[in-house]
Amino acid sequence: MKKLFLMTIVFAVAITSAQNLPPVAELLKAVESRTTMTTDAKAHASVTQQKGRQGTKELEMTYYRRDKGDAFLIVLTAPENEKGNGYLRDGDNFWMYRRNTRTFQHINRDESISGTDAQADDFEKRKLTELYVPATDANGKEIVSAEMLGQIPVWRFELKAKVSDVSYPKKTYWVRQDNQLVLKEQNYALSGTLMQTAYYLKYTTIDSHYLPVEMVFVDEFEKGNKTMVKLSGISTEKLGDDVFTKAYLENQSK
Amino acid sequence: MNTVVDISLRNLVRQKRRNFLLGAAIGFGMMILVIANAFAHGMSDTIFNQIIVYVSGHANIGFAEKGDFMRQIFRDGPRIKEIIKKTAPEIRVSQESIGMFMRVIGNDKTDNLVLVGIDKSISDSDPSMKHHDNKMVNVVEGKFDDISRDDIENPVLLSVQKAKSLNVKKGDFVRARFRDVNGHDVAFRLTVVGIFKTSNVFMQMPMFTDLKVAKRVLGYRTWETASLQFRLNNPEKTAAAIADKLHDALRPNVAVLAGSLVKRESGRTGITASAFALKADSLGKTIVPHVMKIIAGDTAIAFGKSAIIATKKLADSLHAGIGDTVELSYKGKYAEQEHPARFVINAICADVAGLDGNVLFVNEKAFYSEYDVCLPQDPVANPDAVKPDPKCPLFAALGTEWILLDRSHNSAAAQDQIRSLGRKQYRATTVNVSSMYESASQVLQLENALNLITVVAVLILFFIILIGVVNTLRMTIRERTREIGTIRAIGMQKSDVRNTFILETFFLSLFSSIAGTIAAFAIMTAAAFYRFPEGDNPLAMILDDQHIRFLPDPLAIAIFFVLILLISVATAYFPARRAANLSAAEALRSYE
Repeated sequence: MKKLFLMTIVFAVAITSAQNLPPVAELLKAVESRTTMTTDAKAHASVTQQKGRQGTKELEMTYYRRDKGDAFLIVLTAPENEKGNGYLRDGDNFWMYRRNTRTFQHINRDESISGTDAQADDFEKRKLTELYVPATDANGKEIVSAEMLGQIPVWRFELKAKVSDVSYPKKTYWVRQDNQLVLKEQNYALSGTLMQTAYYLKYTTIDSHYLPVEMVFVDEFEKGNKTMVKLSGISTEKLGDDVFTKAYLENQSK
Repeated sequence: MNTVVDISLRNLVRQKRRNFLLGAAIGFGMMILVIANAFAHGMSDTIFNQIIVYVSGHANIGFAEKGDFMRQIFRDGPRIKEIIKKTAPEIRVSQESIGMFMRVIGNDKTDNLVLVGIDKSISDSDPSMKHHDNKMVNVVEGKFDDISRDDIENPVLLSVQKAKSLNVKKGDFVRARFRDVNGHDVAFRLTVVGIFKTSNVFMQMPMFTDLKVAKRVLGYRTWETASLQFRLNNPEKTAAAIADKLHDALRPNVAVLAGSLVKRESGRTGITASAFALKADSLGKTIVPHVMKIIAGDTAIAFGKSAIIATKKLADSLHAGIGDTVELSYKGKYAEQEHPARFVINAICADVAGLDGNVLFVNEKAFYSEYDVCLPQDPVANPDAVKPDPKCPLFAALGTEWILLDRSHNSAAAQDQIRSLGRKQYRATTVNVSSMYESASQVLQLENALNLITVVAVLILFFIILIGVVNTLRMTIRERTREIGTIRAIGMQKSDVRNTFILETFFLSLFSSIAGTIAAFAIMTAAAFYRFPEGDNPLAMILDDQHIRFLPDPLAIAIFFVLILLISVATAYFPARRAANLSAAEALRSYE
């Protein structure tokens, strides 16, 4: 009886919502405006990667970001064999620093971060609205629906890439209806194969903007692989111009 | 002279034990020289002809889109193939070289492999290629030809080792995940149609499929080509010259997107216009601010990386100003529909001499993003395109169809060039022409280094041996002093006495060297029979079908002969001269 009652509520919510489905472009803009940071940011990031037979790999890092100048800096702080290594992006320049050899090397955007599934371009500032447009069905209608994700009413919508240089040409999002925060994201290959599912478990608010602080990325291709990311110690104080330099990274690595 | 030779030969057998030991030492040195040289030559030949030729051909043209070495694609395959055909008709085989790293999941097991495309039409038409393919890919289960079957979903051949690590057999499916040439993460199902056996450690990682399948899976469109490699006749002599010739023929034109340009939401009809890329390299940064006169908009933006600059003529024709979005629709070379490229004007400049027409200057990043998605018609053949005058002051700052990299003349320079791809942030596709004798010059250097080490080691050995020669000669002369006196007394000339000793040493060295060479060949033949076990073998890289490959070089052996004979004769000369200069009377008086 309880189950039937719950289903009725879900169905009712879905029907009500279906009548007022928002345009996907507006949802996208809302998602971006909720989460786009306008200030500098510094945070401690903890990345735990579980790989089927290879066990668990844990990385700790300090992450500095400045969207205004399209710059970020990552300094690894653990484990011991990765400590001091880092990544620096300043505009179009992207370097990897290795503490052992004390050398900087230019890398591509799709370079893996310390052997994890995280890629350098995951840390880039690239607006969703600049990369994707709403996907449409055979009738030319946007693919958007009202659903329940667990017990949370969400909008589910699909996107397709409008530029060629994106990792995933198709995406599906589940965003909360009340505050437009992304709760779940699925990434597909061009063939339609589901490649990755991301869950945004926890947000924090900073200067009236939301920032996801706990995320899980599930590798749908190689079952059993997943990456968990946790952010802590977030600070939005203005960072000095010297932070996004090779010298600073080298100095932090000592 | 015959008497001198007879005496020398007879003297050689007079002290059998002493000469045998000395000869054995010389022979041993020669043997080591021949074996070491044949080993080094065989090793470099194996690396060159079994591995490097297979991977990169005798000469090759490599492409890297957006400076990314993993994106080996050239968007206008037919054009570049035509240029190659016209420029170097002597190329025996020209084929696309396709390979991509990927994560593969088998039956509950995963591994990293490289998908390699084989152009079966070449293999079928060229017996030497067929033989080579069969040697490298010895199919032990299934059929090699099945990789071309259309009725099987993405057929592949796996090595025995990888089939084992993925726990799959013929007929099983595997799933592969990788980033294709367009930068997309993709996944495909592949069918194992056969298992091949290989003893070469490098050949265990590839999984082979037909070139057509590989191109489709990796995201190439039919007119796009991967890097090209060439096989040549007499490559040692022709490879570098052909690479030079191709390099000269591949100079690009200025790139242009030409078509109908409209101001968005203006309701006006389009005008014919051409968009050019502004180079962001140091040359571009130097030329553009000097030549271009900005009349509206922020100069910092106009001379920066996001510049979209309309000439005054264009802005007036379109009634467009700063912040207006314009859409350039141009016909692609291979696309059926016109491609719309949108740009937001952020500066207006005075018209530039030598660029007559409606011109839009676009930053490299935005320009090549459109250019790569929809390749425009060739600039020379396109009647709509503004043809820049080479004397135009901005000419050197305009982006080209591709970037032709300078020829690198050795491996170190080639590696520097690859490293520089990321640093220089090229937006256009780079084209790199090289031959294996430059790109793999380190292998030749390794062979030379091995030979040098061998020669130095053997020279030290010979130095010790030659001390023995000198000592032996001195002892012999001492023992034969009275004999020298006798033959001098009965009329033998000084030079004949000297020549007798020199010839004795010469013959000793000659026979020893011949014996050493024969011994070397015997040892090499025996060693080549030994089959090294498969698996983690440190020698695996240089083994040919699990055997050490010795490749004796006749010229090198001849040089060793001459070298040894010269050294021994030179060493023998001084003691022999001293013997010859003995006075007959004194020699006869000599008593031991």
